[in-house]
Amino acid sequence: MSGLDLQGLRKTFGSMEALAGVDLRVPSGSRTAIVGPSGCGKTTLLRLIAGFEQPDAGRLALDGRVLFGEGAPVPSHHRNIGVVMQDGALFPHLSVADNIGFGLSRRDPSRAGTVAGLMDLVGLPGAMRDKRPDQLSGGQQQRVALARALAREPSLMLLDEPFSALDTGLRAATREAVAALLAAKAITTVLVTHDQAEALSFADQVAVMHDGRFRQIGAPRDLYLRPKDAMVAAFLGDAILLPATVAQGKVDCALGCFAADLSTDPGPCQLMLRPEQLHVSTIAEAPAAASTGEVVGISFGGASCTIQVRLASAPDLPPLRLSVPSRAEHQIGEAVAVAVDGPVHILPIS
Amino acid sequence: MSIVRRTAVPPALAGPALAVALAALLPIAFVAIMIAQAGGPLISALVFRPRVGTLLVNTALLVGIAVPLCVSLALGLAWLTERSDLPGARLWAWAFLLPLAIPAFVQGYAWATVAPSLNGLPAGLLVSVLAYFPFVYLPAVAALRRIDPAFEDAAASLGLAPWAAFRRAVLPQLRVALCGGGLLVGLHLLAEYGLFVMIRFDTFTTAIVDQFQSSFNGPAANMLAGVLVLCCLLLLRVEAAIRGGERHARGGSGAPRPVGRRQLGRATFPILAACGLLAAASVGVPLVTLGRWLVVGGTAIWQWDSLGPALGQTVVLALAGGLLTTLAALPAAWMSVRLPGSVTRIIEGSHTLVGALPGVVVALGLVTFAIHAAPSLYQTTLTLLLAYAVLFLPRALIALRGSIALTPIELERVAASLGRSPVAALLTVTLRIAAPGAAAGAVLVALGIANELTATQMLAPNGTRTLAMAFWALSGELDYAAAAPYALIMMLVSLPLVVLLRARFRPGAP
Repeated sequence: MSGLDLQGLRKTFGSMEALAGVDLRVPSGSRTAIVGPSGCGKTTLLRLIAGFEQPDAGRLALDGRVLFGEGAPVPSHHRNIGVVMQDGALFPHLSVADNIGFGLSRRDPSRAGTVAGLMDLVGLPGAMRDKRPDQLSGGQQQRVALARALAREPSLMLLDEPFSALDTGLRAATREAVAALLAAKAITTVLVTHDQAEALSFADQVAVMHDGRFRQIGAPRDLYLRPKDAMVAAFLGDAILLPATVAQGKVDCALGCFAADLSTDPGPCQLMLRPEQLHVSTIAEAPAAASTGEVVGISFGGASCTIQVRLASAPDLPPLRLSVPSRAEHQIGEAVAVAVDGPVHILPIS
Repeated sequence: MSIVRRTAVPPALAGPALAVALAALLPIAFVAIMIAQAGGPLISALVFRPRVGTLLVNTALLVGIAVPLCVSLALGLAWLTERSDLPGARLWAWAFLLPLAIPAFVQGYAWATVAPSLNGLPAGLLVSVLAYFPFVYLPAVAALRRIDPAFEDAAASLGLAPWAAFRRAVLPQLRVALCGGGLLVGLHLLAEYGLFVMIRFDTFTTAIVDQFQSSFNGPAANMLAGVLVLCCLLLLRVEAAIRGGERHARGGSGAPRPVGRRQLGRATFPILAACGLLAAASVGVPLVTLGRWLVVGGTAIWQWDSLGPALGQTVVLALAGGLLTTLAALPAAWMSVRLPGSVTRIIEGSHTLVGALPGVVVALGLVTFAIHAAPSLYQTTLTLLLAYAVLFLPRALIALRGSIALTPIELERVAASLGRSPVAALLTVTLRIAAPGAAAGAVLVALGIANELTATQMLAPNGTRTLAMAFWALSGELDYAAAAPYALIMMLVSLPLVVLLRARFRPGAP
């Protein structure tokens, strides 16, 4: 069985339960992102996988080799798991080249060549080899940390919020470059982040963590469009939740009546929509199925505005917050139509 | 992130800073003048003789062996108390700092009375390691705490076993702290007088004092002092070379994690025994010896009509010296924080360089200065205070620099915009905020003065009898029981030093 396999991992710190039984499978060569609010236990999980700390219970295996759970735990320096930490943790007393070559044998005659190749691979100019970590920018430091971890050709790569210290522009570019590199080398990867956009764009599989448990694990698109509960829905992006009722294969809410999955139990539920599924238009241009409402608030945000719309069919609900192009120039008090695009998703009442 | 603009140095501060720097250089200048006046033939006759050779060998062996011993011992202890599961690590940490409260010559007195046959190099090594290893232990612990455990995690993920990870990822980052501590030990060894007299081991410093006592201010004493200065400069060079020019900026800022402690396992009991032995030797021997003499002496040795004045004089001298030294260091401290540059570096360097010189050299220089240039100053309290100020300038400078750096320069600029002159802004704003740190610095200086023996003996006016002088005189007459109360008071007075130093080396302290 290749890839990473976690079963029932538990860890408590004093009276605080950091991990309350975690199961996860990361197929060999794939990328998994663990996402969750700060304090949810994701960094603890990463440290257990790396072997910096040991679980209280559970089983941990990599490519069929049991690292924890049978016999003595394998110490971190024998796991061959690469780690890139949040701040890089570059050794301040070593040059860039010595940092990258840290895990390679110093007697290896091909060491210098390997280091040069890795610098090239992560996009660092060769002229930087003798610089000190404090002379590098944040993005360059993270590239050095990645090259250092890649040097030993790890069977698993752990990334602990490695992009969070970078500027917004640099962040996306670095993330894409790292994802492409890891995919090309077919290295099994686990990324920990609190940034949902990063998790969704980086990984083949996303696991949402909350209070020491995985709430849902799946493909990014699945999780985004079909979250299991309101927490997952809200964590992965803006979500509009409306009270609704299921009956006879239909779901009914303030925005109208939609087809429901036949397997859904009848009764009260919640309807989830992503803001991009809602289209605002003038009453005159509205399609037949649209609901009507009144604009009660506008906040200008450049290319798009957020308008608040109170639905005529449900004036007691909090106004819907919808994103519209600024050129539409809506006014407060204006009557608008709201149409729903695409399938709706039903959640249990939270 | 404060950007210091190049502004003109306010003459009100630059003048005093320069004056203090020149005054600090005065003693060594007079030693140099005396040597120069002696002329070539006399110099070579006085320097190239077997006696100087013996002293050089003694001093080189002492420094060359004791400093590495102190550094490796302190590193091992720091690792034990910070990174292992040694039972009672916090208590041991205090036990390893306590020797700081025992003046070196009291340590020497304790060992000389416990084992009167102790003498020569092995005895000198034993007692000086016991007296001085905390000077390395303290910065080593502080540095070890500052190092993010993430570095060891990173090294482990790159395939290094725990010991290799410590050696290759942590040890290099401790180098600055270990070198600094080692330098301090080396300079103390070069300057120490009382300890080596007690243990009957000749160094340059003991020889200079002997020479001074027998032939007063002759060229021979100055010549030896010249060689001693060269030894100090050599030591400074060696330390700078080992330390290297690099500074380690900490990369990034991860959340600090509690450090995993290594299990000692079966080694626990042998290690506990070794720690106990060390504490017994470094703290137990002086305390037990002292206790024994106090019991033997009974109430007869508590002669308050001589103890009282000695304590009073010591306190007055220490406080006056502490205040004077802090004031003298103020202009240079302000300049080094606010106006970094080459001029400031030179002024600062002359402050600290002279402080690295042994008290015997400073005292000799001041005696020469008083006799030749200002006879009215000879054997006055003022000269003695001047010597203290020169000797302890670095302590005051470091404390002041740290606390002035805590005051944002913007506050001084606001004060200026509200009509205060630079000096008034410094006094009413910066100094007000820096006051606690400055006071701690003054106390550190005062504690140093309270235990100072060499320069005090050479410079004190007739009638002066500090605790250290009285202790020295009585133990010199082999009246060990009568000397004991003085030693006890000096140790009690020094206890705050341990607490202060420990607090200053906490992470996050200025």
